Amino acid sequence: MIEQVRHLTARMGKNNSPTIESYRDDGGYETAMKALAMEPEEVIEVVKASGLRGRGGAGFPTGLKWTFLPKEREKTYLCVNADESEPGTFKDRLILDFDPHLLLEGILITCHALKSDHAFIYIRGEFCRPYRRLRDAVREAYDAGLFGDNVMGTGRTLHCTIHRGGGAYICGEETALLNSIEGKKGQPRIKPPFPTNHGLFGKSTVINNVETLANVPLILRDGAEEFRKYGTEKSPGTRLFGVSGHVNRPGVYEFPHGIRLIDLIEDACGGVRDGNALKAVIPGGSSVPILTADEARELILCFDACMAAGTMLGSAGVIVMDETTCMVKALDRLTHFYGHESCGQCTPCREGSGWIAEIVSKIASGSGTPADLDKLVDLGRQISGNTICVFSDAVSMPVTSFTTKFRSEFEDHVNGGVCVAKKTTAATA
Amino acid sequence: MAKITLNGIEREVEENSYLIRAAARCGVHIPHYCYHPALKVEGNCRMCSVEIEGVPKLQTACTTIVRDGMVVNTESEKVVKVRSEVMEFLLRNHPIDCPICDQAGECGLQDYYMEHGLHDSRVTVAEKVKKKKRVDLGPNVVLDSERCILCARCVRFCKDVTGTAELVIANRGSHAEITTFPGRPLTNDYAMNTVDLCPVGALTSRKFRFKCRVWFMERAESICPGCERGCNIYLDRFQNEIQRMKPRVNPRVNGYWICDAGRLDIDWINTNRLLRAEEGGRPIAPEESDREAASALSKGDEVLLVASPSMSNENLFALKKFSEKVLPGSELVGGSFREPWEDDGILRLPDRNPNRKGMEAIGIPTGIEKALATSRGTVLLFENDLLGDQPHLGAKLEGKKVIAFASNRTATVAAADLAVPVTSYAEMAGSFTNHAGRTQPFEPAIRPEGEARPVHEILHRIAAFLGSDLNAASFDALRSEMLEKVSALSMAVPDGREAEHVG
Amino acid sequence: MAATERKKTFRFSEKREKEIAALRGRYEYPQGLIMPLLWMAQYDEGWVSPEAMETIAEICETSPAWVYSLATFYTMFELERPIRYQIQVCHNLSCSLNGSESILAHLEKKLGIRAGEATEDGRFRLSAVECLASCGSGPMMQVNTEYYEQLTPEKIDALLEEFGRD
Repeated sequence: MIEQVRHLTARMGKNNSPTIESYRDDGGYETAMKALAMEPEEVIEVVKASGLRGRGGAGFPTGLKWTFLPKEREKTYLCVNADESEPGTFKDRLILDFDPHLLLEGILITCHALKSDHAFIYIRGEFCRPYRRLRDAVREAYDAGLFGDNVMGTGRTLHCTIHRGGGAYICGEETALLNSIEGKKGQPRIKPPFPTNHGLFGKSTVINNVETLANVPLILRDGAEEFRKYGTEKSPGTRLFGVSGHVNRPGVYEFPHGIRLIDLIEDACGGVRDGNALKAVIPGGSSVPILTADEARELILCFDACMAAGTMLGSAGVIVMDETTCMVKALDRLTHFYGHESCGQCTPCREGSGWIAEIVSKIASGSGTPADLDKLVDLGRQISGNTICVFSDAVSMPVTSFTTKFRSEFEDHVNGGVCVAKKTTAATA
Repeated sequence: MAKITLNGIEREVEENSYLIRAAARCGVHIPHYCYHPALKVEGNCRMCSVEIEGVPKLQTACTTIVRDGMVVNTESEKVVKVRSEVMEFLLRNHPIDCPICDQAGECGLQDYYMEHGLHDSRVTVAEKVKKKKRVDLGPNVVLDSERCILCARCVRFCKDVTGTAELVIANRGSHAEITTFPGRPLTNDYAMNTVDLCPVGALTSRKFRFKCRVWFMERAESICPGCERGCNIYLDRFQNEIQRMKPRVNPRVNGYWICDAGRLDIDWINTNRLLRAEEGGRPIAPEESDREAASALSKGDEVLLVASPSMSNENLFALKKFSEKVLPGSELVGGSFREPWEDDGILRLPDRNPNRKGMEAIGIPTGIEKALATSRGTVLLFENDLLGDQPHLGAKLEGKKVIAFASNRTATVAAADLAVPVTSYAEMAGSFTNHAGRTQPFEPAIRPEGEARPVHEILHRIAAFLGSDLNAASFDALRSEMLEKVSALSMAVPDGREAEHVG
Repeated sequence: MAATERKKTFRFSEKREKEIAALRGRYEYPQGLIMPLLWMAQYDEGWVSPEAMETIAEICETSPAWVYSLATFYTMFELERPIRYQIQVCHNLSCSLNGSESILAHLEKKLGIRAGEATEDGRFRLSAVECLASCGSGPMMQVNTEYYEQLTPEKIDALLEEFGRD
């Protein structure tokens, strides 16, 4: 049995965990006090030394990102990406719901490190309870003098503004998020310029994910070395794994990077439901390539091992599918999603996402032809690589991996319309 | 300057310029839809993707700034393939209605499909997303949503050029479409430029819709007579009729645009024209008309000649000469200025007369009011509808012999003792001098109908009846003489025109 | 959106005016306030009316069309009519693996409408929506601001009863 390591989730389950009293009872904001007395550069050094990598999906080293800010700059914004919307991912919501002050302390320390006087938290519009909890926490923090014009008595200014999204997956892309705050459609920007040079309102901006920032107080509290004791060399620290689908105990689990996927499924989550056989796993949110059961059994959950296995750790949203799953219908759910969420800016993605969704739906319904399958495979490639952002790659990866690894199921659907899955629990027709 | 290698050839290009523009200046056209040199870069259509050495992914030429040493291939196998794939995506939901589409013949989709697509369709007509076929966006612009490729040129134009932001793209993905807000139609004074900007047949001009297939038309380079800006235009003709006016690019004058008021003011050229000379409402032959005019002028009465700031420099120059050489005792003044409108900060300038500056340069003074008050004999009105436009001045024609030289039937023509048909600016060569003193030539777009002739020719004939040689029968000779005598009118050297773009 | 003649105007309450004034300093240009104001309008009235969009455009110094383009890009804004209960069933992969289709079908049957439609009285709109980040508790739905997880037909029936309609 593998044991959870509760760092980020240490306070989960406590009564009143979202309140500032509760947070302070557990020593909250003491680290911020300590960090604010340090030089900003020292704080950045500690985070760099910890090897913390972004938890939003791309896994970019956080400390390094911070150093990309130009030396001379007019103003710096920190934007917190709380637009958690990658299908299969539900871990930031946990922090927002049950330990919002952990995030706020992370913001406080990070803003000090970045010399930023204004943080925006971009929270997805659907998150109502998390929004209320976060809003209350921010109010408490203002009342306690943690935000405002005299942060913790230092005379420094730091404002924290919550900006609610309105239902657009693409706003999780960092430049789309910036546009959304500016009162524009959430459409990704052409890069360069990069946000560190030309970000929110044209000012220097760092965008970090909720879980990433929640790690910052812990790293400053315990030191980089302690942080590195968990996880692997290149993927240090613990990770919030959200496991969903056909497992007996779905949920969010905190484990160090480097555990085996099969242990997560079998031990932590109590195995595949109904004693069914494992069929496939998407290990890092819907956009990463799917793995067959055999591949999944070998997978180590860290950034590099996932890359080596031809997939990605992404947002660590693990979607488990058992033998009853129809892979065509499973893909149909995902391509429908991407067809709905393309921001519509670039031609290949706008047209391709919708087109792919239509074809998969046609094949899933049993009216597809072999030519449709060829077209699907073709479009899966054609859509990728010639767009402003990586959304089209996020469409391409599931399409390509599903149709490659479960080719025979797709072929069966276009050659007579018979679904090979024993029962069709996924997207039951 | 930066040195780049473009398709294997080393080129010097302007530093910090966008690759698409730098290439165009080297004569290399990179296909594109959303890019327009006068609009903010958006990079959405992806047609202009090119290969740059050392960069793994293709890059859009419209968003790439040239770097010294950049090696660019706009025709590599990879580029050609991606271009054809983008075409397939663009055409996925595009209707197959070219036979009834006004854009056919000047359509970016047709052109590039022939050059870069030529793929077999993998979509059936039934599978195409259906959208609205006829949406009145405003009084002058009609939208066909199915044809739209969402390049957002029109959106950017209304947002950044006119600042009115009436047009937006609503919804996402396959359902995205151009729209206005209910009750807020596209009414800005430059709205019809969106029709020119549209690279496909999505936005069409209500006035021009279904009037003429574009491949039947021929065009002439002309100057808009609507105000003192002197916007450069094309007049497109079919069967000796002006079908439409389009902006002609001139970065120093009007950029890429013209205003709607100017563009729409073409009907008068085709309708209600004075085609024959008339004496007291009775048609007479040209010779008779010349003789009548000459005899009225030979009586030794005082003669007042009233010029107009909407006449061409050449006609004004001939008139000045006529007044000085043929009728030495006559008075020549400029008259009938159109009511000013407001400077809108974009193109429109207050003075709605196209050639006031030219009239000044030629030395024709103003002061029609005083001149009319004191004149007692014959009054010659050139393109001046005093009775129609300025009745308080028209009243002063009472009891005088009036000869009206006019292109159209007006109240003044109806009341004149003698009416002489003259050509409009669309039927002759000439030039206007704009507010900045820039003299711009225009060429005839259509043949004059009936007996209408340019003013200088008529004056030459009348002078002959009076025994003088005005030496104004030949336009070329007249213009040379004018340029020699009035140095302020030297013609602007045409600017190296930017490559004109799709749509 | 109905292109009917409109004479009404929309105004934010005094309490909202104060909130708006406080927010102004947070955004470098007024356009940034569009999303917060769309939310306020929807929260106060159950939808974002054309009049509200005109008012928001005025406050944010932009055109109503621009506000409209945002209100349609972001899918959470109700632009058709005021709705009492927005029922949004997740039909993305994780929920689907746990039977969200049958939950949706049950709701369609009970409410007598298809996903995407609203009941005639404006009490309910039923939508199939994308992942709501509650993947470990599917099938699930959101009704207005609340999540309802691990749904069964029985749970749905009880909820609909609670909402005052069987």
